[in-house]
Amino acid sequence: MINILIAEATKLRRSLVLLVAATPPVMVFALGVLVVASGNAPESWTMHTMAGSAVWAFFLLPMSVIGITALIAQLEHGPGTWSHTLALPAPRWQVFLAKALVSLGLMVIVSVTVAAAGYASAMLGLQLGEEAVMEGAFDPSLAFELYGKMFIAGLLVMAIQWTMAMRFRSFAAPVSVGIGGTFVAVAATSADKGLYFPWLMPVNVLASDGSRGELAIMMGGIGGVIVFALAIVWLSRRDWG
Amino acid sequence: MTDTVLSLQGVTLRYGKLTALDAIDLAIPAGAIYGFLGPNGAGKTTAIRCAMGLLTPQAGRVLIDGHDLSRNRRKALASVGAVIETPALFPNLTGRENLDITRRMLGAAPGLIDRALELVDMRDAADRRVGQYSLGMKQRMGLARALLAEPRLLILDEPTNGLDPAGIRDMRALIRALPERTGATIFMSSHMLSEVEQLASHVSLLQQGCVIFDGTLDALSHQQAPRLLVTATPAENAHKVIMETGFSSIIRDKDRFILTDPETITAERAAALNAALHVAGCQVSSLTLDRADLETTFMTLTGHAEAQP
Repeated sequence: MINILIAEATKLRRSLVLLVAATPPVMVFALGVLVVASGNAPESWTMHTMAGSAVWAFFLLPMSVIGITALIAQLEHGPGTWSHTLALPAPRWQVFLAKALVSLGLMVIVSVTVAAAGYASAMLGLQLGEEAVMEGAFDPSLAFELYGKMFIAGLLVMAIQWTMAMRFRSFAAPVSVGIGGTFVAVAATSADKGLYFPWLMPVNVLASDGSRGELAIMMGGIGGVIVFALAIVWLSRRDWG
Repeated sequence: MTDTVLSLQGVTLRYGKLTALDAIDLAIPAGAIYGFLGPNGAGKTTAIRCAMGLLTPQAGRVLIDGHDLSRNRRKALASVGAVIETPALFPNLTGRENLDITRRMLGAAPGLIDRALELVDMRDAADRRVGQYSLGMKQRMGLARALLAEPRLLILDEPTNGLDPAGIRDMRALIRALPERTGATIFMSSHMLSEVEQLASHVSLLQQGCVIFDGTLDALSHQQAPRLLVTATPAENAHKVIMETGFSSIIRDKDRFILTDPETITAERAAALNAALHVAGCQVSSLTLDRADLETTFMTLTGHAEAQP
């Protein structure tokens, strides 16, 4: 399994996947610098961390998931290497599990770098903005908690996008579903039943009602693991003609 | 280890009402270069996909090196290396990195990479990105990847497809040398008859999902019926005379006619046709009675000869 995992990770070398993974931290960094540097009212570190995580949960997380899962799948769909990969005498479920783990691993790295970019952006903003002031102190545990919970709550979206990306040769299907889901989530943020909408689960981590966040983490996390498991079984058993 | 490396027994695959493979039986003997011939759409790649476990037939079974593919997929596929359709490689990686991915998935030793590169003469280009390779180089690298597992059976799906004449020549030379250099049996699909004729010792003809011939090239050539080669002008007039003389299976290329109906090709009928053509005012520049080459036999067997009412 370790060899298959290394093989799957090797496929990312010099690929667009890494460029896509680097985009969200850069965006959060740019946004943070602009906000902090141009602010004429003092901003608190807590609010800055929350604001960065909100941008992540609403837009950048689902967009990153779309990009990373679609591009990882396209590494096989594009050159048509499925026939080769799946005709090797390796357990197919391990191949798909390795692909899922590589996708999730990249999302973990992106989450961490986005959180770090939020901190770095404020530090640079303070240097650039003549009147920029940040109140309080940066709390790494708050950032770790927020981004960690969002990752778990986002597992269901990741599983859905990953499954579609692996299944369909064209990236149009997963991309259109992902963009649609993201826009519905933005429009229905405060809807009562939005609690059950996968794309809203990472957002609900920020809800003032704590139970809403806990439910989102539970549904997103458990649902994600179940969908990933079912998808791996299904993909490894289906024909690849 | 068995003497039959690959065996397809009654393999049937349907897509809805379309029967892509109709109870095909194949037995690939060890040590052979086996040509799998058929026109485009005959089902060659589908059969190969079934043999590699990428498609599950509704009936029949596939045995590789004695292992039933449906019951023991990993053991069965451990004896096989394959290049299916295009040599699909990761263009963002170097040739060596591509091979290393497969090596890791096979759990094979790192030293096998250099051996495989040596076999296909690609060591010098191994550290270049595959995206910069020519099609011929990709074919070679695909072959190197298939050889990594030190397979008993090498499956090549249209290995010279898209190559220029020099590339085709080189690839054929490489394929011809492989059984001796690696000990692998080669199962090679192609729609190019000349290719199979030059390389293969055994051949199987597939037509619309059915095997219509399976055996050695010698057996095929002995099965070939005599044919009559006629060159006559004016061509339209000659064509009419040929039909009126009772020949029912005619392949025509401008003023050249190949008559292939085994029932009607005799020395007496040839003489009668010659006389009839002269009487009709046709100039006969050649009229030869011989046995058909593989191409004509293939055209006849696959129903591509111009049948006349």
